[in-house]
Amino acid sequence: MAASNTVRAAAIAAVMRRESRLRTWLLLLIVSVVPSLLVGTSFPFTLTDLLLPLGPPLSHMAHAGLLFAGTFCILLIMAAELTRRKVRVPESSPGVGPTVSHVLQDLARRVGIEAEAQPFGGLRSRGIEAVAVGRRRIVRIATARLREVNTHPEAFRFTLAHELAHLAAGDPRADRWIACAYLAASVFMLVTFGSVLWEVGSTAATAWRFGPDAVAGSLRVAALPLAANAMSMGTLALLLFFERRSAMRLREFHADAVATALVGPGASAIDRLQGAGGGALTRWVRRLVSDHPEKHFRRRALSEHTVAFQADRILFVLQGYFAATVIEMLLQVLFVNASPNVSTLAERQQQLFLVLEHFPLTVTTLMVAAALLTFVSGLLVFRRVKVLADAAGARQVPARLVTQVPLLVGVGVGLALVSSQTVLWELSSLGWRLDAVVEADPDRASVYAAYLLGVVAAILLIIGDKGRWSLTRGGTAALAALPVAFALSAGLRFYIR
Amino acid sequence: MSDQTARQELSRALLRDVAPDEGEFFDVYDAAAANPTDDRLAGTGFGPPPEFAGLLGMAAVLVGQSIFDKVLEWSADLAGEVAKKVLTDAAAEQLKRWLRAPAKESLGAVLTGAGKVEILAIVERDARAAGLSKDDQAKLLAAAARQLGLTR
Repeated sequence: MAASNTVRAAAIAAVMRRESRLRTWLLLLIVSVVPSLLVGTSFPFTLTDLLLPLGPPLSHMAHAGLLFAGTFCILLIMAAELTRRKVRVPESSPGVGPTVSHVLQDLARRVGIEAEAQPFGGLRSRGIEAVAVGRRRIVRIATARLREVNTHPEAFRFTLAHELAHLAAGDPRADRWIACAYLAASVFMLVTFGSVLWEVGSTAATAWRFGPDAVAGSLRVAALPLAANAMSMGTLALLLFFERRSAMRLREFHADAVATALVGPGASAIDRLQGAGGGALTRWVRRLVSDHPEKHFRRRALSEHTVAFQADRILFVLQGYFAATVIEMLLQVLFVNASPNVSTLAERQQQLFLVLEHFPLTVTTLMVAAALLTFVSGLLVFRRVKVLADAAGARQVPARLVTQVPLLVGVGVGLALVSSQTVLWELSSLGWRLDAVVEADPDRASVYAAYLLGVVAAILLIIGDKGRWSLTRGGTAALAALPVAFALSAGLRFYIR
Repeated sequence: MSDQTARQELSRALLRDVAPDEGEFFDVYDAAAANPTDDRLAGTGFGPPPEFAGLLGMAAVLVGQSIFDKVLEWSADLAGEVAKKVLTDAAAEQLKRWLRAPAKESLGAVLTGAGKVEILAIVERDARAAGLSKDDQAKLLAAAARQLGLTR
């Protein structure tokens, strides 16, 4: 019995590791690509052909990407060093004692990792946490809680098993990577917004020579780009924040599942945690931003696997947002001045032929890159859906979750569009009437509609074959390709006649 | 016996009295009580930890350290004003013995009334700082008084 539990725990830990890896790659993709695109398009003259003479706009994007990679690596080195310093203890420091050490080693062996225990903190520290530094995997235990190995043995073992599950899944390391990528993305977004502010300020300063009316006029003109940039970056920052938080909550369920397989249900450990107080609104906000699920959800998830499925739905919103942002950037680059107030569909078709004729390599590369980015983000999301199903031991993904996917992706697409400067400009110049924008710009609307239709088709496939084929390796690739293929077909139908 | 060892001996005796099951954690309690601010988190935790409840064993170790350091401080200047107030006239020899073996010797004949009050005030202060419940504070106070030979 104990052996089969150990096997089950190791299997869930392996699933957690896969899920964590996919999540990390998806977030790294999004937080590196979008801010790099923002910086690349904001500094066209500075980033031209510095190292890679690819010509605009590829050169801008490539250089912005390289800058992002450099910033990310520096931050990663600094973060690793900071963590190393936090867990550094003198050679002569006392250990956790033989009892705790024995319990930890036994559990670590069963999870299939090597780990060490380290005491920390003074009279009032209460935490127990997992830390990875280099090759070392450490469970840090507040000194004041060591005695729980004797006073609350079941809860203590469950907590240690939970932390070991985090270590086995590589969560502390993934956290560090994501935190550094977020920080680099924040720097890039601040730099981009700073450049917009600088532009607005210098225009206003120039206008000052012509009097206050000119300044007011320049600020009126600047209001839309300022609002669009603030909305666009604010939306991305919020989505990333919520996704990170929800992913952290999701993995708590998984770590609890590993601990349950190892030492039995840890209701007593969960019951000992501080409960969430406050009114309904406070609890709702806490559910959204907290990095740990509420106690009663964790307790329920110990026996009801579907609870965990609901934890990370924002993932799909983020995927929709990312795909729409990439498509929007592509359309903006391909059809500069492609707004319905500036050009007709025939003119846009003509422009595409023109740029294809003069810059075939650049245009093709841009289109392939956009298709690949959208495909990869979709692939990572569908692979995660599969891993989630595996983690819960379910034969198929719950229909309730998959039927929500198109709606959630649609919300993401909508958020990306309402924070796009071009779309906002079109809306404002057409009296904020969405139908007028769709009528004047049917090509753009159709590309997004086709993308969403592709997502719906993918979901119908999952439901139709009950996840048997669609959630295999080849199946997920096909699912991810569907929305891209639909969007490309719509584009070809409109532009290549 | 060095001051460090003697200090640990007193703390260990107090720990043995109030929380005999926590003996194996003495070294780590001793280090944590000496460096109470090292509580930085660095990784992925289990969740909001249990409500804070003071820990009698760790508080006992802290109290042992504080008392020993205070008496050591008084002994450094026996002719000083403070020492005259808190130590009895015949304290010198007995004090030396206590500092060498604080877990075995008594401070009863060493401290004046004011000295005893001050020592017990230190126990109360540390017990409060450790967040002990009223019951545990009283338990620790009684144990310290017993250990130091301050009870009749």
